[in-house]
Amino acid sequence: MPSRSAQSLCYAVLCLLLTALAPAQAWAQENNPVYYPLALPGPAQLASLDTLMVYGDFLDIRISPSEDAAQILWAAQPLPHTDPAGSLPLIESEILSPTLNITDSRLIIRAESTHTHYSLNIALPATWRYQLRVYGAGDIETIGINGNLTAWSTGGNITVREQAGRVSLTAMDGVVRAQLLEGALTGSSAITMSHGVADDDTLIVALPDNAQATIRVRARGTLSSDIPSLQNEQASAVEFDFSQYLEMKLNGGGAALTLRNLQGDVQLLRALSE
Amino acid sequence: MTHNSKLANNLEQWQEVIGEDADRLWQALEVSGSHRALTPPARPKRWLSLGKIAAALGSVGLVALLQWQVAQDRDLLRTENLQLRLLSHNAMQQLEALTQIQNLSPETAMTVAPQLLSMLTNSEDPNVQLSALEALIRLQLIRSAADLPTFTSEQGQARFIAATYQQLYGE
Repeated sequence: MPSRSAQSLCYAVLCLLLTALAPAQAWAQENNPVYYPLALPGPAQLASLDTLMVYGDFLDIRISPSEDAAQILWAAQPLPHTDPAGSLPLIESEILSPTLNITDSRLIIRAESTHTHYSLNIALPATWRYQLRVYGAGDIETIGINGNLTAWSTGGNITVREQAGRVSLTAMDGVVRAQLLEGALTGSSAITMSHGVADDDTLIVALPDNAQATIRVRARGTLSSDIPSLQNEQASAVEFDFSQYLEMKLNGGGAALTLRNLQGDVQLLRALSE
Repeated sequence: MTHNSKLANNLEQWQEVIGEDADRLWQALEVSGSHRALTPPARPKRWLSLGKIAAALGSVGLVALLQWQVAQDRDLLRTENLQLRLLSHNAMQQLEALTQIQNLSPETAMTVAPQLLSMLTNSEDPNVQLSALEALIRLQLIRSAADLPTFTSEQGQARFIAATYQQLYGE
């Protein structure tokens, strides 16, 4: 059995090690935030839901749907902030978990805090409808959603990949990149970009070759496209009258896809299959 | 009826049927002597003809009325369907309805102006709000920034719509 002095020595060494590692741990936490699972309802209740609504002030949202492993992970980092009087430069605030509620068939997550930046990694069924809103700053990224998607961010980028449901996307201070599949063009969709960011103010939408749509574009800058059937129309680096929509029919026309870029250009690209 | 009065009646009947050529025809018949033997053509059955014309006109009118009624019903259904979509809280359905409104005449679109104003004021989807704003501007119900309603939706969104209006219409 070790002596009492040996035990004390071990504790001392351990304490020293922990003290030395603490800054490194904090650094790691800052750059690689630790994710925690958000408690979800049981499978039976989850099966009765079809819509996810997410609200947040400073929030990054990433959605990669999963049919068999529903999961929502959250991480949070404190934001520097001052008290209302402005006399103290920094206030330490408790970081709280995002709240989760169920109303009718909707799962509602709120991550609203003006002094915490949240990140959500979401895996829920692809067939759900997703309504995502970021009031402060934060990016929204989705991949492979089959249901309808509405997303808007007042300060962040919106990136949508392999979207097979209809969309309504709005970025106030950020860019939008959207890869739409045929299913996204079965009814009216709309994408609006207001300001872009300092070095990038182009709204880019990728469409499949065989998609049928009536594309309506209103932009302050130019419109360009590498889609052959649109090049036959008017969409080859057109600088157009901002006061009205330029309307083009892709493969004979179809549901309306409305694109607005209030400050910059619009690019329509072929969504090349990988 | 005497023979002379019968001839006079025949002449009158000829005149009635063939009009101003009757006199010349009658003279020719007199010369040939056959005016006594030849029976004048039958008088047109005026009231029957008028009845036929009236019936034909009535049929055409009825068909037109039915067609008008069907068109009215279709318009009503279309408008009701449009209103239902506009009243829906589903942003995608609202976008669909707003796309339809672009193709309506201003008179028909005006019937859903209250719903457009409501969407502009209350919708939580900026694309729906912008499309409603564009429709209201097309209907000349919003002519300047002063005509914009007081927004009940989230404040950031209200600022977005006001700023967008300035960017779009330079006010």
